[in-house]
Amino acid sequence: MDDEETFMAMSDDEEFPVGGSDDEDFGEDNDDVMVDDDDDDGDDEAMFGVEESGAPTLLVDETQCTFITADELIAQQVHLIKEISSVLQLPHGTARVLLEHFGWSKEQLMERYWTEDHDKLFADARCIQPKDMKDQCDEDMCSICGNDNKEELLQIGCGHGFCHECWVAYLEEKILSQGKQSIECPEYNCNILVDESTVTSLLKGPAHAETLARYYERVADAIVDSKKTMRWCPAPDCKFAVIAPHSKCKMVKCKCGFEFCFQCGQENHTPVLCLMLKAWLKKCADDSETSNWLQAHTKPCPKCASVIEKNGGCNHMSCRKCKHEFCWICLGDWEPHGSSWFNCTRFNDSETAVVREKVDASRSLLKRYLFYFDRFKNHQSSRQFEEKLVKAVDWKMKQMQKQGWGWVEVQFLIQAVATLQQARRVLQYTYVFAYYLKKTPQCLIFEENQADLQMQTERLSEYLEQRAAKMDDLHNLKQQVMNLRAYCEHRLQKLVEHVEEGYKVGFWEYDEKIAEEMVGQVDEFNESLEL
Amino acid sequence: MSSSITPARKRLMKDFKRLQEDPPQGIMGAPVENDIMTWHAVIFGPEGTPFEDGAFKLTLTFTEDYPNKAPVVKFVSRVYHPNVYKDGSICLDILQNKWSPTYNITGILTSIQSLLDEPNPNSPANAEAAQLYRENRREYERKVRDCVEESWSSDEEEEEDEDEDGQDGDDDDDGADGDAPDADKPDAAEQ
Ligand SMILES: [Zn+2]
Ligand SMILES: [Zn+2]
Ligand SMILES: [Zn+2]
Ligand SMILES: [Zn+2]
Ligand SMILES: [Zn+2]
Ligand SMILES: [Zn+2]
Repeated sequence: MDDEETFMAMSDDEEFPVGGSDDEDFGEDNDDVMVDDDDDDGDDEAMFGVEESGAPTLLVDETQCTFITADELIAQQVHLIKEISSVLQLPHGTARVLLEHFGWSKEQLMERYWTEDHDKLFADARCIQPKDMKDQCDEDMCSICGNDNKEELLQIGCGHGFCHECWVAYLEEKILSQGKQSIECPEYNCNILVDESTVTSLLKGPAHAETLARYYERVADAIVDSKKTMRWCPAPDCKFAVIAPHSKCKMVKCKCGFEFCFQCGQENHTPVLCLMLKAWLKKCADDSETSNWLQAHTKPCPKCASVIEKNGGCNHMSCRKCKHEFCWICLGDWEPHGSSWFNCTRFNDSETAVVREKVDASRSLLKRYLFYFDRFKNHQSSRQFEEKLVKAVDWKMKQMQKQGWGWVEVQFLIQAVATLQQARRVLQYTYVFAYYLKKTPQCLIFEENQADLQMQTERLSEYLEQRAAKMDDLHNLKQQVMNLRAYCEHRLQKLVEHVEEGYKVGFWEYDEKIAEEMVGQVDEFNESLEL
Repeated sequence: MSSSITPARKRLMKDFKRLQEDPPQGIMGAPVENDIMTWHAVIFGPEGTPFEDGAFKLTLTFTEDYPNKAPVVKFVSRVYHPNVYKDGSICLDILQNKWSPTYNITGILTSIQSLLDEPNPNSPANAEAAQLYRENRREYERKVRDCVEESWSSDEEEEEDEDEDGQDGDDDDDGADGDAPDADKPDAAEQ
């Protein structure tokens, strides 16, 4: 297949912007952690929602993620520092700096510690070897403020002494103004890192509580950043970092319930790939679309240059300001046109043809964009609207329990709402996908799947919204809701699988502008399937 | 606040004292009258370099964050140099990311002095000067000599000096980031 060859040919020297280079993954995200094999995801019988190891990569894999808060991260880190410190017989501060240097991987540190030259290892880690640590300041004076009270000077092993006040001011500048957690000795040309315990002891007391809190935030951020399998949940006010089973994970669900893309950090955007979404969001944000619209629907009056908007089909324009009458198509005087219904003298003029083409092209491009944007927005607002359903359904569930239903027996309602929300979200993003898609036969199948999913989604939505609350025959209600939910899930599964197959096999063809960028992403996507 | 002696002011007085007691070769500097946060300084071009005999004036503007934050340092005299912007801002690492609070005014001024004859052509603030420095040293030196001469003649025109001071405030701070709009059009090109 042609496309595949192009993909192959271009993939070698492509740099993928998403996910980074994973060649140097540390410790726990080795390839062998991923146990998925592609063989058992071939059939669609496994209901969506019951995630198994073979679930499509584009759907959320809830089972394999774990969650951790900043406090827990730091506690883990303290534990690790203690361990290293006792195994390698190093002071805590030294153990910490070394661990951080090796991306918090105990294995990396141990291996390199026993095999590498220590002078180099410690220098690279910006850390003083215990044997070289000074126990006194080189000079009797703080080299920031000149304070010569020896008692007040503190150094971190490199011999550069500063008084308490200067240390604190320096740390505040680094932490609060520069947002740093990796802080070097204040001395010019000394790159020795200030270890965590020094920072903590210098920033003791309520006056520095905020600075210290910021410092630990940065520390936790740095740990998360150093791990390719960790990412903060982007939901506002969520305190969790998600630990994914492998660094190429796509959609994950946080403990707080928020589903997001592990690669780009946006809300779960199945079935589009990150790059498509990025291009789409940029497009939506750009006001270039507005200018496209203006280009398609307005022209300057040829006489006074005030902007004229065309709203009817008639090409006979008259300027509201200067009353000039002209032809929309050729911008010439209307006069010669007037005699017959259409007598545009310059209609075939090459110059005007170009102008006309430009207007037509931008008009049809815009129409196309607006078509998809409209549907994208519609589903988005439906989703917001359907948030209310959660409350309504909750009420219904309570009612049912009052009538003797068990808690487990009424869960079908909230599950149906969850499916509805999921289907809406996927539908919303299918319009992004469709926007960039070329009209191939596979695209027609996709559009059919999209229409099917849309229909099932609307049915489920309508039922939950209009009927569920009023239904008194609860057994019938349950049967209906469960059926509708199953149809909806089935269609969802079908659609996503088809899109995925297209990525895998390479049968999607994209709009030229996006196609080039897509090459890298599709490759990466396929790579992640082969893990 | 201005009446109490803040750490920044205390430190600046110390810097002043040190500069007076132990002035390095070819460097002069003092705070403006009644304002220790603003300094005027003069750097003499090092001997044996094309900058020899030049007397280049600078201003240094400090904040209360000094010495944890670097001052804003600008040449008032026109300086033809690969790392000096048209507005006088200087592209020098120790004034930006390599700043350390252990630096003092003497250190800043001596670093700028040695920058004169040891430009860093990798971060050109004046593209033409950087190119001439690399490819046509004779022409480069000729243009440097022009500004050396100018540095003396403009000395008599105190008013012009004042003018340039006034301008400094407008396009402050960010001049040294490597993308100042003026970077490609050094004055000397117009001659
Ligand atoms: Zn001090
Ligand atoms: Zn040091
Ligand atoms: Zn969350
Ligand atoms: Zn993404
Ligand atoms: Zn007009
Ligand atoms: Zn016409």
